[in-house]
Order: sequence, then C-alpha cells, then structure tokens
Amino acid sequence: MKRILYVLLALCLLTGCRREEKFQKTFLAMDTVMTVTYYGRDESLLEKAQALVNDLENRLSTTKEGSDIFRINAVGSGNISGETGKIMEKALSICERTNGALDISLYPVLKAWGFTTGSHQIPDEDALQRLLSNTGYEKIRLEQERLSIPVGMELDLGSIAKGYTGDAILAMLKEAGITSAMVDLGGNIQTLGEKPGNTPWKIALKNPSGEGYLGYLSLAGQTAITSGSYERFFEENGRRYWHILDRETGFPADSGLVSVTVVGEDGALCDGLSTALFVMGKEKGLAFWRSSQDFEAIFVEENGNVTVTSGISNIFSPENGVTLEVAER
Amino acid sequence: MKTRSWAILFALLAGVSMGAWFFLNRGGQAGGIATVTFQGRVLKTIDLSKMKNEEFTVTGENGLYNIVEVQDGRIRVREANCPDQICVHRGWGSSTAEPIICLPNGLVITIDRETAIDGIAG
Repeated sequence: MKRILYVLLALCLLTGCRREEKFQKTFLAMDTVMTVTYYGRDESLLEKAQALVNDLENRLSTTKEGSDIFRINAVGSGNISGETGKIMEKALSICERTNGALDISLYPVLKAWGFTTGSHQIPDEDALQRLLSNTGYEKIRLEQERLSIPVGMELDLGSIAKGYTGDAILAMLKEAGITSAMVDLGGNIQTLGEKPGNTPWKIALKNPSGEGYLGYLSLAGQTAITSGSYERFFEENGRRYWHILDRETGFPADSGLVSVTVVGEDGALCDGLSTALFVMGKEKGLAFWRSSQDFEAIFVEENGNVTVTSGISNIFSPENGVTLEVAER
Repeated sequence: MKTRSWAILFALLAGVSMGAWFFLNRGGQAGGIATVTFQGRVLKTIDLSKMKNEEFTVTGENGLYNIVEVQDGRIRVREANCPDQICVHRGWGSSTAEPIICLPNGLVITIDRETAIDGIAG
C-alpha cells in the first residue's frame, strides 16, 4: 500500500513537470511595445524572438544608420540582402495590387508633416507638390537584388514591417515545435494556433473614439492588424491631421473612416492592406474585398458605423451598444 | 507512520494542491505580479497581492523620470516628465493584456494577472 502511494506521488510530480508553461516577455522595439507569448518548455525562445526583432529592425529601419533602407535612401541605389529583398518584393506587390492606396515611397511627405520627429506642421501646397513629383512606387526599380529609387524619393517600410516581423517570430516558434503563440506588436495581434485546451485567443478591439472596446475577436491562427487616424495625429485650428497619407494629395487620407482592421493569415499582407483600405475608404475597400479571397475586414466610420465583412462576422462579437452591419460578398 | 496516516496525508496534499490550482487559475482578481523593466533590464518584481504601499523613481540618462506608485494592490506611473505623458494617463494597470509603458524613457511595467482578454488590437 505504502509503495503504491509513493508511486502515485512520483507520478503527480512527473506530470507536473511535463505540463507546458506559459512564457511571456514585453519589450520596446521599432518605436513601439511588443509582447511575445507562447506555451512550451523552452524559455530561451523569448530571447530568440527579441533577437529576431532587433535584427529585422537593423535591416528595415528608416532612421537607423546602417540599415538597408537607410543606405538606399541616402545614396539612391544598392544591393539588398535576402530578408530585405523579400519584404521589398512583398511591399511592392501590395502597392501594385492596391493601385497605390499603399505607397511605400511617401517618406519625404511624411517628414514634411513632421510625423517622423514629432514637430508637427502643415506643409505649404507648393512644397507638397514638389515632394509628390518625386514619389510613386512605380518608379522603384528592383532587379534581382539591386534596388534603385529616383533622386528625392525615400522609402519607408513602416506600413508592413511589423506584420512581416510578427510572421517571422511565429514561423521561428513553429519551427521550434510551438503550437500555441501570440505576438502583440504595438496593437498588431498575430496568433499561432489556439490556446491550450482548444480555446481561441480572445482579442479586444480598441474603440477608435476613445474609451472601451468595440468588440471581441476570437482568433485561431489569424492576424488582426488595425490602421487608424486615432493612432498618430496632431490638431491645429480645430482640425485633426493624421499620419496615413493619400498619395494623390499629400494630405492625410480623408475617406470617412477612423479605422480599418484587417484579419487574415498573412501578417505582412494584413498590415499593408490595413493602410491601403483606410486610404480607399469603405465603399472602395469593400469592392476590393469582394475581388479578393485572402483577407476580411472591419471598417469603422467617423459617424461610428461599424461594418464587418461576412467571413468574420461569426468570430466578431460587438460590445453592448455597438451595432454592426455585415457586408456580404 | 501507518498506512492510514499516509493515505490521509496524501489526500490532504491532493486537496491543497487542487485548491491551489483553482486559486491560481481563477481570472480577473486583484493583485498579481508586476515586473518593472527599465531600459531593457528588469529593475524589480512586485507582488501586488502583498498590498505593501511604496513609491519609487526611475531616472534615465536623458534626464527623464517616472514616479511609480504601488497602492492597495495596484500599480501606476503617478508622475513623469516625458513629453507625451501616455504612461501617466494610462492610470492603474490591471492585466497582462495592457502593460504600462513609457516609450521615451524605456519603462515597461507588466502585470501577470489573467483576465478574460488575451490581447488588445488597435
């Protein structure tokens, strides 16, 4: 009898050791807050994830001297290494697919507005037109590994770099045998599988107009990335100016939306499309969605109306008092 | 010890560990463990459930400071001289899903307390 009890006790301890643990780390990178969470047995993957982020930031940053992008912006052309080449190809394909609603060549215009430094100002019309004459993703040349841009243009991968980074972290974790993980890169949520016990990740969606949440998304392996006018903006003479620019005017994209959340499998694509759909506005954005198969979206208009595409209406539950319109294909 | 005493001891142990398991897995309660990270290094870990009130200041080489206040099992940045004041406006921290951050000064306060939400998008 005694022996059986010892065996039972030993079994308890053993199974206790074998249970998967939750590992989590929050750190600052790419000018934002990042949290990596996963269930597993190897704590060192947290360090590995952070190292991966630092490496990508050192290649893709617009402001870090020595990054691939910094170098190209400074001298106009050069060879880009594997990872930078891949993300550049991806970025250009989204620019093309959205017909310039996403344009990664607008950095000089963003600078003129002061969004890069925080010394905000409204640029004068002539200056804007001059800057715009040098921009346009169509003028970017990428042949093999050689990238070149015209004089007066500067590239900025800020609209897809975080989504791409999230994809890279989750791929690394998956490779290491992890089946349940979530990364939060400054409010961009990307998930791998579900939580232990086969429950989806429950993600609250910030209300663009301030307090509280719009609703809750249940994610299982998908990504949810938002672009909104409430994220970075300044006010002057009672008007609000935000950081998402329309390449036609050089002014903040004013399409009647306050935010767009894109849900899908591909983080880099969701990231780029969230900016593009914000620029397009709801009607054009919905038409674009109808002609695509690889993402879903939630549009929030200035008047507070919320429209969710039919493919995710079953995983989005609105907060009390929020009314939804479901867009059908 | 007799076999029966062992059995009772074992039953007691099982009961306590089950109790502990339920206690640790319940959600949305006050307390939790707060981890204060300053410029990439863990500065201190605070057991908020101990309800020991304290206040401390972190100062960076750039001259920016944050005054962190722990009160009645809660934690917040009470005062700071950073330009955006986002850390101060954030108020009392409550869950893992929403850390308290001061980007300009590199301060991160995470709170390990489970809630119904795993993350916040937007």
